[in-house]
Amino acid sequence: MSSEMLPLLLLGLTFGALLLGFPVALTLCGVSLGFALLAGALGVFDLSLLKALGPRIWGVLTNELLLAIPLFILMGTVLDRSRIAADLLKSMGDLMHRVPGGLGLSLCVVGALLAASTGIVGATVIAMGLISLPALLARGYPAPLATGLICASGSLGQIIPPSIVLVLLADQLGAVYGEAQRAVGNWTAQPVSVGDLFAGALLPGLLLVCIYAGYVYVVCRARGIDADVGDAVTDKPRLRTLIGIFVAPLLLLIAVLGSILGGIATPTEAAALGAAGAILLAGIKVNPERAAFLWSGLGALLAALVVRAMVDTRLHLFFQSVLSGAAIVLTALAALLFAAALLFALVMSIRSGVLSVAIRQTLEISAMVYGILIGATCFALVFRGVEGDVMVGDFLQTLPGGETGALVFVMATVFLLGFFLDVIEIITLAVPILALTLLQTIDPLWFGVLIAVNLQTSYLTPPFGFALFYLRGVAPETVQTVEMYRGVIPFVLLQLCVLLLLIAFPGLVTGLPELLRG
Amino acid sequence: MAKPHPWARRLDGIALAAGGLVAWLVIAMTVTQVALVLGRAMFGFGSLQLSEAVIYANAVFVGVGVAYALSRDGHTRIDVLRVKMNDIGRARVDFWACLVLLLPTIIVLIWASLPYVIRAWQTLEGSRSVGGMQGVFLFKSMLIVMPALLVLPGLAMFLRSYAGLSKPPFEAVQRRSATDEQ
Repeated sequence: MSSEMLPLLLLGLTFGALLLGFPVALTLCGVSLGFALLAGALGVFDLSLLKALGPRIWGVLTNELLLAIPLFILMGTVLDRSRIAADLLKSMGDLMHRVPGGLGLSLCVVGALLAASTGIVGATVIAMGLISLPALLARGYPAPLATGLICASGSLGQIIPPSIVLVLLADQLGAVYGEAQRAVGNWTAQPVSVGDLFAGALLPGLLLVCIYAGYVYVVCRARGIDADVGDAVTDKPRLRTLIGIFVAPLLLLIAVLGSILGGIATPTEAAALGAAGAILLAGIKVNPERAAFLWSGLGALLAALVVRAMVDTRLHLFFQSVLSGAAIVLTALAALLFAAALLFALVMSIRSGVLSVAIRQTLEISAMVYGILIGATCFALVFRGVEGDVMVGDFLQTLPGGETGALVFVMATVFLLGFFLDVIEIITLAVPILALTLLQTIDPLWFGVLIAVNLQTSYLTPPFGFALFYLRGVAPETVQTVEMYRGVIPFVLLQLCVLLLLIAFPGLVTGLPELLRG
Repeated sequence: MAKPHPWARRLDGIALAAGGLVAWLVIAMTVTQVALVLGRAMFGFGSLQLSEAVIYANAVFVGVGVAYALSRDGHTRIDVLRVKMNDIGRARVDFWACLVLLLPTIIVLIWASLPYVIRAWQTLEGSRSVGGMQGVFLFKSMLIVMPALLVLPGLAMFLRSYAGLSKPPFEAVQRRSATDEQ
C-alpha cells in the first residue's frame, strides 16, 4: 500500500466508525490511535509522534480561552433550570398577541434572546418545543412551519454571541491562522480574538433573525395564519412582571456581551460574570420575597463600578488621598454587599435544587465538548502523522478558480459534512484541515463567520440535525418527522441566502469589529 | 428502558458519584473568577495563583466529567444508523466498540502520557510563571486519571452490551425533556 492512501484510509475508517453510533469522542480517539498502532506496527507511522499526546491534551485541558465554555454553559443551564428562559418565552408571546403571526414573530425574537443567553442549542430547542409548539399548533400554524421555525430560531444560539461555538471556532482558527501565516513567511500574525469573532458574528446573526421574522410574517399574512388578533389572550401582562421577566435576562446578556466587545473583560471573565448574574436571577426567581436584597447587590456592584470609573481606587492609594480612601471604603462595602447577595442567591438556588441539577448538566455538556476536542486532538495528530494535511492542501490547490474555488469547495464540504456531523466535530476536525491553505490569503475573521453561518445549517439538515433530534424528542406524536424535515427546508435556504450575502458583502462581517477597534 | 444490570449499575454509580462531587468545582470556578475580575477592576488587585487555580480546577472538572458523561450516555453519538437498529444491533455495536475503540483509547492515552506525567512528578513541577501555583504535577496526573476513570463506565457499557442491554437512542433527550416538564 502506498503511503498516499493512508490519510484517505484513516478518513474513511473514521467516517464509517462514526456512523455506527458509538460516542463520537471515543470513536475519534479509538480509530485514530488504533490506526496509529497498526500503521506503526507495519512501519508506515512513526509511533514516537504519539508522545506529543500528553502535552497536547494537557494544552486542551488548561486552555484559558476554552475555560469560558463551562462557565457559559453554567450560565445557560441556570437560566434554563430556573425557568427564567421559559418565562421569557411565555410573556413575549402574550406581549405580541396583537400582531398577525405574532406568536411566530415573538418566537424569532425570544429564540434569538434565549439562544444568545444560553448558547445551548439543545436547551433552547427543547424549551421552545415544550412551551411554544403546542401553542403554535393550537393557533393554526401548520406543523412544518411551526417545527421549522422552532428549530431554526432555537439554533440561532450558535451564531449570536456570546456563543460557545464561536469560542471554539476562535480557538481553532487562531492556531490554524498562525500556522498558515508562518507558512507564507509572516511570523507576526495576530491571532483571531473571540471578541472580534463575536463582533463579526453579531450583525449576520441579527440579519438571520430579521429574515426569519420576515419570512414568518409574509407566510402568515399570505395564508391567513394566526390572523384573528386580540381575543386569544385576555389577561394583559402587567408591566412590573414584564420588567422582571424580560429586562433582567436582557441586561445580563448586554453586560456579558458588552464587556467582551468593549474589551473590558476577557471572554472567560465575562462568562464567569454571566454565570454569577444568572445565579443571582435564579435566586430572585426562587425567592421573590428577598428580591430587593438581591437586586440591591447588583445595584451596589454597578454603583461601585461607576465610582471606580471616576476615582482611582487602587489599594496602595488608601492613605495617600482622602478621596481615594473614601472611595475605596465605599467600593469595598459595595463589593461586600454584592458578595453577600451572590452567596445568598447561591444558597437559595442550592436549596431549591436548581443549582445541583444545573451543575451536573454543565458537567455533562462540558465533558461532551472537551471529549470531542480531545478526540479531535488525537485524530489531528495521527492525520498529520500520515501527512494528510499535505494531501488536503495539495488537493485544494488543484481546484479551478484559485482562492474562490477553494473557498467554495470548503464551504460546500462544510455544508455537506453538516448532514452527518455535529458542529463541534466539524470545527475541531474539518476546519483545521480545510482552512490551512485558505487562511494564507483570506481574512480569518470573515472566514470564521462564514463557517459559523454555514454550520448553523448543520443543526437543521436531516437526517442528523441536532435541532431536529431534540425537537423530535419533545414534539407530540401527531407531528410527523417528515413534516419537520419539510419545515426546515425554507429556513436552510434562507440561511444559504445569508451566506451568499456575506460572501458578496464582507463588510457585513468586518464592519463592526473595525468600528470597535476604532 | 433497558433492564438494570447490577454490576454495570454499580460501576456507573462510582463515576456518577465522582461527577456529582467535581460538578461543584464549576461554582468555585465561577466565584473565584468573579472575585478576580472585580478585584482587578476595582482595586487593581490580582492573584496569579488564584487565576491558575481556576484553570486547574477546570482540568479536574473536565477530566472526571468525561467518565461521568459516558455513564450518563451524554457523549454525542451519530444516530443516523443507530435509530434504525434494534436493541441487539445496538448492543452489538457497543460491545465491539468497547473492545476495538474504547480499550485502545484508554491504553494508548495512558501509555502516551505516562512519561510526560512521570517527568512532571520527578521535578515536582510547579507553575511556569513566577508566583504561580505550585503542585502542577498533581493536576497533570489528570492525564492518567481521565482515561483510567473511563474504565468504569466503559466496563459498565461492555457488561451491559454483553447482556444485550443497550440504552436506546433518544434516551438522553427524553430524560431531559421529562425533567423539564416537572
